[in-house]
Amino acid sequence: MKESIQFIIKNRRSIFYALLTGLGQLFSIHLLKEKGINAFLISNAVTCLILCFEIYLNWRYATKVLRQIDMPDINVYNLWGHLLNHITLPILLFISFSGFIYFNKDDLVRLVALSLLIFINSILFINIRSYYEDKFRIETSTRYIYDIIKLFIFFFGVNLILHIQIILQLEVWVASISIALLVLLLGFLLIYRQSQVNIHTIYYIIISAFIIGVLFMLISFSPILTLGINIVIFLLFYFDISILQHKLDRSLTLEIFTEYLLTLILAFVIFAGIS
Amino acid sequence: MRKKKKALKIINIFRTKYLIFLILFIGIFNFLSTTVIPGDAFVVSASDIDIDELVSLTNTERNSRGLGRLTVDSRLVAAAQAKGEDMIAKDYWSHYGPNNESPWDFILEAGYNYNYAGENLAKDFSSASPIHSAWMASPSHRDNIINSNFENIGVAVVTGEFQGKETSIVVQMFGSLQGGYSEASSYYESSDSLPITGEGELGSPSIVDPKDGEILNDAAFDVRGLVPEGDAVKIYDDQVEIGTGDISDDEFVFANEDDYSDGAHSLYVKAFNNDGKASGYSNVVDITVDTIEPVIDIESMKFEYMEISSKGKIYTLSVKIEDNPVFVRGNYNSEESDFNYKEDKWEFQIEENKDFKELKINAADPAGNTDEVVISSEDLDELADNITLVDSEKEGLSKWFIDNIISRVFTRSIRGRVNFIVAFIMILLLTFEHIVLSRTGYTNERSSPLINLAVFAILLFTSLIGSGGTIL
Repeated sequence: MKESIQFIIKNRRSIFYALLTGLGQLFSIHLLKEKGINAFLISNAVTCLILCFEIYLNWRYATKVLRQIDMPDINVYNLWGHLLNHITLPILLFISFSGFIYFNKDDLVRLVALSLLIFINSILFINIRSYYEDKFRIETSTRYIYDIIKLFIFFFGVNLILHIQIILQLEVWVASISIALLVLLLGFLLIYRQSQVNIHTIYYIIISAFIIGVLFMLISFSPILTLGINIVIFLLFYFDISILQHKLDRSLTLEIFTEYLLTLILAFVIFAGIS
Repeated sequence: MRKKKKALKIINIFRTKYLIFLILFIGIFNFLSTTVIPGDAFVVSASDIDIDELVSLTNTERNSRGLGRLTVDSRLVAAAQAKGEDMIAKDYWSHYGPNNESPWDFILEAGYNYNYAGENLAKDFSSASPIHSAWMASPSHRDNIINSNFENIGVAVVTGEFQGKETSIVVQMFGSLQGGYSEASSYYESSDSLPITGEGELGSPSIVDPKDGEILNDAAFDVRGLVPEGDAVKIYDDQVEIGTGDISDDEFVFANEDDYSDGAHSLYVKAFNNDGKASGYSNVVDITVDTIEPVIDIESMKFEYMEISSKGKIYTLSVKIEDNPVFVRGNYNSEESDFNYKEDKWEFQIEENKDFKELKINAADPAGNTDEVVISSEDLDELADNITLVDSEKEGLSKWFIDNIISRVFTRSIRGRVNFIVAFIMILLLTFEHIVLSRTGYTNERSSPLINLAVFAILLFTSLIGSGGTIL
């Protein structure tokens, strides 16, 4: 308990910004109900600016202030890879989440999603800050957030793509390509952050995107409900990205592969029964 | 070192063997606990949506607001069933069918002569609770659920191939048989008894015009009829003689010197000849005179609320109209549709994303008296600026949140509950595993518990959404 409080006090700045973006989203939901889509978009844009402002301040702090006071340099190892992740992932999460709360009218679900968003953003901001401040221990212990954030971006993103497909009556292949592009983008961000952009990892991502895109197209023609499609595609992405993560860490063993496979099957079985 | 080994020994139970056991356990349990064929595991089955639960949730909602309970009416159930089947057969997702079939048509065809009626629709849901929550989250659907005018309810779940997919559609219909006017009740029921009559010596006359049950907006109408025998007919209104009609070629006509008063009248005639013989009484014609025009009260007009749908903004306009009109029609953007009566107001929905256009409102009472007003686009703009904020849930947010979560977890089927709990336990175990692994430093030798945790968290989250259904 004491440790948790100390952790919160130490990282109050990151938690404050995460709460601020969460409150911004909550206000956007309120405006969506009362004033309509334009007010929702404006409120969301302002909230997104707050998010970007925090990322910018961290970057500025790292690149200017720390150097001015002759603090040790930040870990410049693949700085651009990290920077790209620090900017892209929160914005992608923000956009996909905004789409999700726009299309899902259920207030309970919106609030649960908002709580998740605040939690994820808190950890992410803490990680980004600790990375620039070269606090290795905190950075390492919160690094997992990048994998989790990708899963949430993909889940909300596919949900958004499916809703746009239904509303604009787009062809299935358009949604399929959009989902494949999302897999490509998230996969690329992962290998770039880990400085492992090579022919093998690029092939892996391209083949993954192709398989997930094709599977989405096949599932779309089956009698599975929209959310069912969302979950099936999400679980496949989870399996794919988990294996890639271990491959990049060179920690993939048969045992770990089996564990992910069994977890995937268990998730399918539970989903079939939970609905 | 010993501590680390012990910790690893504990978390080893979460590994492969444990996962295989869990998959088998849950898989067999799911298989045994459902009648759904294995291939349909992801398809929402009508049997998963508990109609009684939907009715119960509706009544709970009403009870909490001090409103009367709704009783299930078999005619409304039949209407809801017919509507659902029609939607699947004709493949449309709307309150109105492709041939402009309205929900009210189904209700009337089922033999339910409504005074007030309402309809909520939902599709692609897998259980009752999320449907109810989604309806309660939408002001227009909530209005139906907590409308004090409704006394009956009928719910049907219809499953079939809809828009290319196997889908369950939920149709919830509300109604009441008392109070107010409607197309169905715009004519009074005819009297089922004649005044006391003696057996006449002449053949009885009969009134042909006006017709029984008619509602007239002209207070100076003639009474016409047939008279087989006799030289004169006497006309009675509510058993009071009001005059004598002229006979010509077995027909009589009576023109009242005074206008009839507004309200109900019971007319009948009796024939006489010059010899003093009389006939029996004619048929009794119950009519209503209504010369008062409905008045659209422009001052009372306002936008109740605005919703966002897939089509864009939907504004709900309300207006009070005096003299209980039988229908109120709006013409907006060259499209005509009816206003709906809710409590003491008439409501009309306007779909508009840009600038408002002119709205024509036409109200007519059962007698045919009409009133028409035109609302300019500027006036609508002004009304939209003063739009009333939706009265959000008055109860505490935390109570509402917890009640809703509990309701969604525990109102699902046993199979759903068990799977939900298993997913929740998985999250707890994986959290524990993460703590142990991070403290022992063996993170590289395991699959990431936090990634797996995120998967089960999203599964639980998804189960709250309720299969991503939509409402209308």
